[in-house]
Amino acid sequence: MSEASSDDVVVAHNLVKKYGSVRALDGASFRVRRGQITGLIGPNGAGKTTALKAVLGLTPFDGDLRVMGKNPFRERARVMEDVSFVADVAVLPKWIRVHQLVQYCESVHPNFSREKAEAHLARTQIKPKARVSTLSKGMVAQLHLALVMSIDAKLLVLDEPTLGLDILFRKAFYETLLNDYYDNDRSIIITTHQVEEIEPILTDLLFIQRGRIVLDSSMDQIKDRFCEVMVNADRVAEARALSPMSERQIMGKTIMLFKDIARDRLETLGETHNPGVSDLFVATMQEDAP
Amino acid sequence: MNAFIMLLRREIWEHRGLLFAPFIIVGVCWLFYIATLLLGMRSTGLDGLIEIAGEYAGLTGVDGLTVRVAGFPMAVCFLVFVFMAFYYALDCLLSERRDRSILFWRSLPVSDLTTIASKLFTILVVTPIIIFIAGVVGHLGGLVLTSLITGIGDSDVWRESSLLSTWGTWAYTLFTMVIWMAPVVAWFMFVSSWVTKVAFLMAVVPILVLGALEAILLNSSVFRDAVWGRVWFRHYPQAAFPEGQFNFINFLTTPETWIGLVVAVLFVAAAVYVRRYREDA
Repeated sequence: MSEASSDDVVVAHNLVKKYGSVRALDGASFRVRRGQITGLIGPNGAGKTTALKAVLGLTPFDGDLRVMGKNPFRERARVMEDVSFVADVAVLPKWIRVHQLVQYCESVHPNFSREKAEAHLARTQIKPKARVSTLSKGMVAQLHLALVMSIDAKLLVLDEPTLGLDILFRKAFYETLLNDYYDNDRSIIITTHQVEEIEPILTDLLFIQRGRIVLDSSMDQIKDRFCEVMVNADRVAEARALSPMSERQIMGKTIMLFKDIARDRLETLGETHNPGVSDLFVATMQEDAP
Repeated sequence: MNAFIMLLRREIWEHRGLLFAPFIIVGVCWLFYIATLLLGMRSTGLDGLIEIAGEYAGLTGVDGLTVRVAGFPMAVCFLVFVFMAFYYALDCLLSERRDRSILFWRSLPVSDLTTIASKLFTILVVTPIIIFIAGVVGHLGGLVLTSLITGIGDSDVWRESSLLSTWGTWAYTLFTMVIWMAPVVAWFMFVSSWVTKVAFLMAVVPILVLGALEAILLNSSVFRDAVWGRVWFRHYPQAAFPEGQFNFINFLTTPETWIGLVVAVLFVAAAVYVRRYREDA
């Protein structure tokens, strides 16, 4: 592992988490730096949620994990002063009123700004006196996002934050996040199955498979390393000889995904372009399959 | 400190009954009391009336009209307090896991120890204070009612010293009760921290089974007496009110008082441990 730097927000080295004989995390190592928006992508049961739980201090683990230089399980309360979290399901208590939540956060959280929360909420339909139980699913997500955006955190963790929301809410959710919250001093980790929706905002990618990180790369590096080629019909055999990661047929055309092959070489085979995250994901998972 | 007060407010927000129930009970007691006084007046006259009023008290063994008249609401509040405390303790760590809001609470910089301390403080300090205030309000209201209906307005009950000694006895009773019931509350909290359903059964059945096993295998009843005696406050009067008089020194020198506190600390520590390590996948 390279030297720790002051830009490191999360440094995980050889993380292991066992549930009985199942290894939910099996030696995962990764790093999140300041200013990154990292997509943690993996199939169901790959260890995404477990990795996030470890980062959030919600689960004990083996291996080395530092969040802002601290062990998150041992110092959860301290670490959570700089980390905020939106879970995959609505976890706001049903009985509480909106203004009570704001008041509560203001009192227990040193980095929470009541003014910001009220400003965010004023842009929604959510009434301060409303009980969470009376809000729609989308409004609860908006409320949680408003609270989280009012915390001056160094790391925001989003675990399937838009699950079950309609497309309008999902779009608005990420737009708000990017426009009103994100700046180069903050980091965000997102897991979601709707990879296409977050692709435009990501700066970094982590692919996780069977408890291990199988790809850890910035989006820029990905553009350099991976290339998708719509192979001309007469060059297919030649292209296959370069051992593509994946090959698929779309409307009679052969599309191949290559790793670490010079782009000018690939351009002789057909039309090249940058691969989408979901195609890259599928290819990586297949390549790594047992 | 501000944060801790907010944690206490949070508990009251969630369990508004802790705040309102004692006062509702006091109101009901008044209605009951008025009915009794009016009925008593009609059938037995003034002397019988004072006797009837007295029958509702006898709470602490301190004799005389002073404690008896209008002490009834406080007696009911004491009883209700015990049930509220047990119910609250069984529910407080279970409900946050049931609705998964624990993920939200734990996403904020509040440690598990602080959270559980705030819940314990709510039920063993804040609630008794509310109960005490409700009891005093009930007492004063009862005295006013008595004076209005019977006309014995300048009787002993209004003497400042008798009011203060009554309230002092109540405060002492609440304080010692809280210490006495702490291990039971802590055990219920511990159960609440890991159980997923039927919390009451999970809290009670192990004690029953252990008591039965003790009787069958060892032919003894030490555990059963200690635990059930604790739940039913069996040895409490001997400890806090030997010979019918309150006696703090006696309470403090009763070994059971301290054994109970040690047990309470152990169960609270266990509850903190479980909340920290437990994962709801």
